[in-house]
Amino acid sequence: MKPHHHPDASSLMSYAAGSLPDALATVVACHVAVCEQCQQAVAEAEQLGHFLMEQQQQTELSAHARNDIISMLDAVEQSEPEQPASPVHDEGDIPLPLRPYLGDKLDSLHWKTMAPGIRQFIIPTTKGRLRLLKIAPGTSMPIHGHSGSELTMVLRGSYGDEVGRFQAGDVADLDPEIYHQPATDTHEDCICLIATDAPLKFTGLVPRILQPFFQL
Amino acid sequence: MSVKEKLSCYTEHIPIWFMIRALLFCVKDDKCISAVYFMMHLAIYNKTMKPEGKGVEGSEPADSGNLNRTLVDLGKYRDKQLFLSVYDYFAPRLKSHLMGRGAHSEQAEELVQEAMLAVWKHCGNFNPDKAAASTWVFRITRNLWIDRMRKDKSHLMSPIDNYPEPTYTPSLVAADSDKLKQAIARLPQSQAQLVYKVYYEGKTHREIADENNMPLGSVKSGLRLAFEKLRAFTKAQPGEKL
Repeated sequence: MKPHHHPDASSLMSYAAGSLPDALATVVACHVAVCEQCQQAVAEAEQLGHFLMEQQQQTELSAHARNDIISMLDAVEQSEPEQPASPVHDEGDIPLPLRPYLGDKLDSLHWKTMAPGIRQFIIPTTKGRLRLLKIAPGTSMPIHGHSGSELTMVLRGSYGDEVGRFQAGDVADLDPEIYHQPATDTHEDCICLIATDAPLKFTGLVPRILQPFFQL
Repeated sequence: MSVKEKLSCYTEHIPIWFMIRALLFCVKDDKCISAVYFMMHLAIYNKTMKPEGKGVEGSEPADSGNLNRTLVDLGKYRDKQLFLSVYDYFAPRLKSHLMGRGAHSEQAEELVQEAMLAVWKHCGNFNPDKAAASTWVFRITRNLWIDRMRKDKSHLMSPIDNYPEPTYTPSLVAADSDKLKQAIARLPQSQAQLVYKVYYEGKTHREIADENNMPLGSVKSGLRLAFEKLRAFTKAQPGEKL
């Protein structure tokens, strides 16, 4: 998989710094898992992170900290070695970082119908909102803008909007100024992983009324 | 110039460099007073607390240059004196780093201990070809901090690991600290401030936008430009591997 659309450098940088809201960080992690170009950028941003960390002033630790750590080391040595994590199966279409939580297959999730042609699966996160959307062929989302950051990664199928065409592996990292109306553009369902850190802004009245019910 | 000499001239110059940035911030933006206070502190601290007496008796104090080797040795020989030299180098820096992100002193210290314990446990897996020692420790600390933030809301938590081990090893040019410092110093103050907020304060794009009353799009583009400039700088010498 060689994605054509990537998260913005600002998102990769904040991801590397550990400063992206949880939900957005998950989308970046899923993309980075399949994109060498972004792995490179993240590694560079982490390098910048360590440089800035080293530049930082030093804060003295309490007097007993050094002795404490030595006794902690002793305790570790006496305890059992940790079991290595079990390897992940290579089959499946759920992004690697989500597999321990969701399993391997997108089709085995319990999708909930949200609107005609649109089904969703909500993934709880600590900061921001994260969901999977399954959009039937020929369906378009109501036109909307964003009051915050939105990251969308296509997992299956493709969609097009005012910004471009997005296929599996691609990430749309939209500026909040952009109002768009994504629509699936092939004969198969389009499944996306979408993270937002603020509610969407719909222009139509009906979607605005329904918004609270679907946690959009 | 040896790495040690480099490092010492670098600590000499931090206050000057920071002061210049601080003054620049002040001239254009009075929101930066707190940043200036921080830098003043730093300058005073560096003047009064020179590294003397920081090292451990009988062990080489670690510096950023030989840290890679030290961590590899630590994995092999499990020597506690050696560990303490790594500890003395990182612990005070990590504590500042975590406090910058909002941890209170006690919490920061607890996490420092946890991070350093992870260094001791996992240094056998440390591979200097994959990342510099400091980057490795930076990652451990970042991930621990994120886990800690999540623990406070564990009812909401989904056990997603947002920072799995990379599947591929990017070929990285060793970051030349002097060059990187220069590159950061050359950033326009608004961009440097954004980088500072993301890395030192752990702020999200939206928090920065709200705080400074600027459009989210400008936060993103400012960071993007800063990153591109810094990348261009660190990429200047290809062929030099970590």
